[in-house]
Amino acid sequence: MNIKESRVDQIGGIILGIFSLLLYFVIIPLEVGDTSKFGVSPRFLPQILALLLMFLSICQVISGYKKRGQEDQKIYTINPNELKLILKSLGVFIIYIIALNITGYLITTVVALAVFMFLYGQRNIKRIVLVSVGIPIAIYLFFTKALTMVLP
Amino acid sequence: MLELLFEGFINVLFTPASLFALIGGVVIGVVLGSIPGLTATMAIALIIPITYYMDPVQSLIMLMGAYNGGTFGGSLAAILLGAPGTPAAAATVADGLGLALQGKAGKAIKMALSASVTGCLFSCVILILVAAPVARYALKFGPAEYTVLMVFSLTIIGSAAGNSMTKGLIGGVLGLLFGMVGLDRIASVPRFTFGVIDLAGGIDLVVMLIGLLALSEIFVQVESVAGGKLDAHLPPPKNSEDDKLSLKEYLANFKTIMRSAAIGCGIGALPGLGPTLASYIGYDMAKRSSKNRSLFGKGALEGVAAAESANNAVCGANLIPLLALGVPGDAMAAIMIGAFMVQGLTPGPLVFREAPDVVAGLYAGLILSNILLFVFITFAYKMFTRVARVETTIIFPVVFIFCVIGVYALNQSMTDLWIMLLFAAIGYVLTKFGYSPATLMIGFILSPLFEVNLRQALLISGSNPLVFFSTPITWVFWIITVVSVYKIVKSKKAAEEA
Amino acid sequence: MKKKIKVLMVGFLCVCLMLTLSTGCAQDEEEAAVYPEGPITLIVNYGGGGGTDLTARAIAKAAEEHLGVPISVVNKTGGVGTTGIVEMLNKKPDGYSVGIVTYSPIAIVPHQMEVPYTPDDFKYICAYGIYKYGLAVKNDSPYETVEELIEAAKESEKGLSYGASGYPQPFVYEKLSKLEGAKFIHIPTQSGTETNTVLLGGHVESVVAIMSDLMPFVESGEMRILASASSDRLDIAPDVPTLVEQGYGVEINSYMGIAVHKDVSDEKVEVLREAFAKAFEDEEFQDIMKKSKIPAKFISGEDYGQLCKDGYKESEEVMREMGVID
Repeated sequence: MNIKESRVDQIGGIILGIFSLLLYFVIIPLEVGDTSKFGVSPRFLPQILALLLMFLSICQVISGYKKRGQEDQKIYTINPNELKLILKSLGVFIIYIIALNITGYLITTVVALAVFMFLYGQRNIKRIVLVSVGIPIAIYLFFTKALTMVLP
Repeated sequence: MLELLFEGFINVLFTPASLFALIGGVVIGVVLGSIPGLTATMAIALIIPITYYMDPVQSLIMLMGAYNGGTFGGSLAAILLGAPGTPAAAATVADGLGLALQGKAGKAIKMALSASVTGCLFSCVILILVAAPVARYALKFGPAEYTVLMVFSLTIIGSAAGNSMTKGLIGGVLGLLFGMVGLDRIASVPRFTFGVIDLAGGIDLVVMLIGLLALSEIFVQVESVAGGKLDAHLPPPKNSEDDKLSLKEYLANFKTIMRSAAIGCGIGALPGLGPTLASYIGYDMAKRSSKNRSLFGKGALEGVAAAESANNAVCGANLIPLLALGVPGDAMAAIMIGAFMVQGLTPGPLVFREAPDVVAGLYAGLILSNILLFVFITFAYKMFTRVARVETTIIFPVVFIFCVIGVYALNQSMTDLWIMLLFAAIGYVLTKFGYSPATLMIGFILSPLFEVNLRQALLISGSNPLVFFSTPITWVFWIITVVSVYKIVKSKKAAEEA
Repeated sequence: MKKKIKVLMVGFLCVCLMLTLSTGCAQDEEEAAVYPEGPITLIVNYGGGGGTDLTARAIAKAAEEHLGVPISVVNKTGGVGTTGIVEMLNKKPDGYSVGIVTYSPIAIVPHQMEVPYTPDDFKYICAYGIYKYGLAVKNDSPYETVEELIEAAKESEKGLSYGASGYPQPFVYEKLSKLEGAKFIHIPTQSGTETNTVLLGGHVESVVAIMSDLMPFVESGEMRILASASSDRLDIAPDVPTLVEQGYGVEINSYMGIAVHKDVSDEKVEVLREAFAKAFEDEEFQDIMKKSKIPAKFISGEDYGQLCKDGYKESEEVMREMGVID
């Protein structure tokens, strides 16, 4: 999938524009406390930044609009295979972090490491086993013995 | 003083325990610093409990050795993996990895090493000769002066913006916003915490760094795996030249190194700023005054030299306020106070009277740590480059695990892991579409420094904005800021016309 | 290839699930009459290497002897000291999770942000350290006494600025200005270190800070103590009276203590109280406290609980008056 720079600018600008509006009108009033005790309110700078972001997003939309017909635009490519790999990696990460709390460090890490290596195309079983067992044990020993830290 | 220093050298060199402590410190620092996820701070945490059983000189030089080694070690991962091992190496990534991908990893490491050692030695000289006056002068920096210094630092976002100024600035603004998460540092009310109490203390710099710059960078590189490229992570050197750093190359960058060393000294002597900011400023200044600007970010030896000299200069310089005043220069120096106190000493002007031998030993240890670092890396760098030539299918998963465990170990917090993952995703999307994670990082670092000082200055002055023009220091930084903005605008125009 | 990955992922999940079940079962069986029979975890609510961590580890080491089981120390930083406390409360109330519960996250922070506990959710074991606070000026300051400082603040048009990091430090000036009608401006600093820096640089007129932070500068003569802001006089300046003695009726205190979940049985709490009371007498622990410059003081569990509960109510009042909370 190829995306032209003008499109990236326009879409990015619109997303950021919506985000900045959300920030200014919803998130800041809800999530930032207000007090006048200390001169400048805690809301003051976030609000300025939200406005700045709004301005920049408008600039982006405009520059994207101007570039729309140009031939020599930069093209951003997204390869579906790549995207799948990244999403899978993120998925393994999420499962890994959740499982870390449940099954404890050592087993989870051995499994996760093996999955990652397999995911990235390592097919040499000997290497997978060696690395995915050896490294977690080494880390484990280092953290618990040398740093006296408790791993989940 | 000189005599005392000489004795310090003798003492450190000819006491096996001291020498061993120093070597141990440097090696632990380099190794932990070089693994993304494990940091120099962790090396310190590892060493502190051991120091209870050492004499003062040994414990302090071991800590300094680890700090110096760790700060350098971060650049190894930055160069070889494109994932900074410590926050201070964030500015090294672009050029370091650029060189490594050309097969010049050895050259880049040696440049980083020479620059680091030169930078740190320079700051040692300043520390030994003029610590007291420099520290006294640094005290003149109040909230107003810091604010203007931060205004200047914000201009770095502009010049780090790359091809699109708008996209770079967007990154900077987002970074500033992320820096505001947590209890408001002035009024203690929650900001952007969404009810999560783990966010009350803000987002940890290391968590941010690992997610935004290290993990996301690996995600970007992982794509090559999907593209069917299964070979080694880094190409081998094309010829023996690529693995060497000639004296000529070193001297050609000497001016850059010294400029960065001076910047690092200044930032280190000012309490509360730290090495990451120093390396960004050093890098930026080098980029602006370089003849080969277009090479920066793609593999400029000069860029590596500038960033690395500046951050290691902080190692010595943050002892300037610590020893002269008892005020630590950064988080690391604050830990040093603890180490001093465990030994029954109080850092500050009194320590020169109470324990001049300890101070001399510390100076000697710091200088020797550079020499040791140089020797150690000169012999061991091949080992590190060899690790980087392992297949991507092995090295990336292993780095992932280190990142997860390292970030967890930092605060033993699961929330931190989710934050890291979130920023990894953000960093990936930003990089993919030409936005700049680097400017986001700079914004994030500057956010609290800028906001807190601005608001403190306004409180002190009774909301009078003239406070930002009240002293000569502020004028100097305003002038530098104006010149800096002018130069950025001019160079952007030149780039557009070209 | 795709299938293989899917199979692998499902397998991964299955393994994880199975292990959860098995570990879950094992834990339920251990509920014995003897306490303690296994290792105890002490959760420290601040990071490694700091004063709280250092002293907590020391008292834990001393208590091991009296409990007869190892105590593993875990740092849970974040949430300005509250994360570690919440972590402890989230653990099973079986007496094997004990937390360092310092004063500020119990009595003060709950008013600044929402936390899932109140001082009533704990059973307090003891307090072992006390933070003393002092009011200091730079050595070349024209103010020799608190009275002079207050007079100057009354005359000054925009008020005199003071540096203080965190709470309860600002309470001192807040009460002073209310009692005397003087105007003080609070400059919140980020750490005790920064408080020292702004005073030494002459950017504020005075500070109120934890004594261990001020001590080196008082010793070197760069700062002068005008008053002790705590209930006792300060060891370093025994001639300088407290604010109460000077007639201002203001004092702030802060403590380091240990607590467990309120559902832990009274028998277990008693065992812990006894062990930590003995541990307090340990020489090595006392030595670490001295080196950390934190005055060691033993306060029984009941008394510490009362201090926290009273402090909780009082700080709410003061902070409301200050206008920092609504």
